[in-house]
Amino acid sequence: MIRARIGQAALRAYPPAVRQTRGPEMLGMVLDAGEHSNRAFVRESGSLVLGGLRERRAITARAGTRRLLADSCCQAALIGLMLWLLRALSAEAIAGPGQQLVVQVLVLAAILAAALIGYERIAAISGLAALAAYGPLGPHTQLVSLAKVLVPIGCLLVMVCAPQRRPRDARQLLWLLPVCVLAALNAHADVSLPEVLAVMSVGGLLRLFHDPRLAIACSLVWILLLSTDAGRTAAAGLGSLVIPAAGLMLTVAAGRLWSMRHNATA
Amino acid sequence: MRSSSSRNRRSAGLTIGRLSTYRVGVELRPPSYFALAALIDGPLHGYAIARRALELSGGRVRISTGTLYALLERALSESLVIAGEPYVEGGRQRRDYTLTPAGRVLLADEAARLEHAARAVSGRLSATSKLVLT
Repeated sequence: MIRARIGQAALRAYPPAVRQTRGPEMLGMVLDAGEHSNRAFVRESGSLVLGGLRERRAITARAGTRRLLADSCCQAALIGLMLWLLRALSAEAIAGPGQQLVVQVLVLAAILAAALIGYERIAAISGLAALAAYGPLGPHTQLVSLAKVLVPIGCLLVMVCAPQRRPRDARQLLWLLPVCVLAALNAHADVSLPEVLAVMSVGGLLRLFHDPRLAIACSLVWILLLSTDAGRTAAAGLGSLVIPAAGLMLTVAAGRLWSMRHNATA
Repeated sequence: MRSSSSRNRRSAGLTIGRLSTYRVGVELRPPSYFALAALIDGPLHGYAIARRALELSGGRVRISTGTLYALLERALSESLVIAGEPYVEGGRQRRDYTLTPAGRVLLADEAARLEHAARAVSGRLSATSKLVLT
């Protein structure tokens, strides 16, 4: 019974479609092979995890370079929105609930929710409008300020033109849960945005073997964050290696994407 | 000049084996070769394929679950094998896989290639063995 559960957990490495069609027989084979030996069972379970990751990598690679880059930009826009909402929530916690901040928080939460469910075009257009309303853009915007918002504007424009191809799913709203937890934590302890992004970047690096999109997205958000004075100051708390680390992550993730595409077309 | 059927077979892209693309008549990796060879005598389910492949290779090729299903998936997409309906045996779900005529042709090609390669090397080794000994 425990072995079946471990096998099922290892099967989670496979995409849902494969799990549905071949999962039960794969699990049967793992249990058969490991019936008389714990070592064989561990080896077979490990092979299941590796096989699943390879399958996911093949699916990702088949998507094509443009699609993967567009997905990275969309994910960067999502992360950016999430961090913006967190910053607005922490500003509200510090300054007290002002009417403008409450409206801003509600607008950002609605945009993020729409993007998470899958209404990315609507979310991106609303995001651009929010950027114009609450961001540094305005009739007297200086060129330096404009340069700082180029990354988010670029990512949101990609989201408008080429949103991620995924089914609309309300369960994705569960991603708002960590935002709420972080916001609650922020009210009591100082959780800075670079720290949150650093955790996401670790997640992106862990997925690098089969999917470099999150790592590229995190790198883009790092560029956005480090292009602001406040972001640089906050990131300095993580150490002086943040800037080269962000650059290195972008290079490694882009290299991984290239090698995956190269293997897929070889 | 090659016959047109042979040319067609050779030009048909075949993706089988771990993360590599093969062309018919070029090469199959040992796991793919022995997994397909395991099906020569008749349909088998996943675990039976792995056991038979181990037996056929003299214990040298151990195919794990992840590897076997990846290569079965590719063989299915290339119509080298066909999958039967799932059934339950001993409380475990199984599905039998059958080698198709295209799979047999590919195996025959590969076996001939390996045989030719082995013969060429053995011939040269025996021809030069006296020279080396003296």
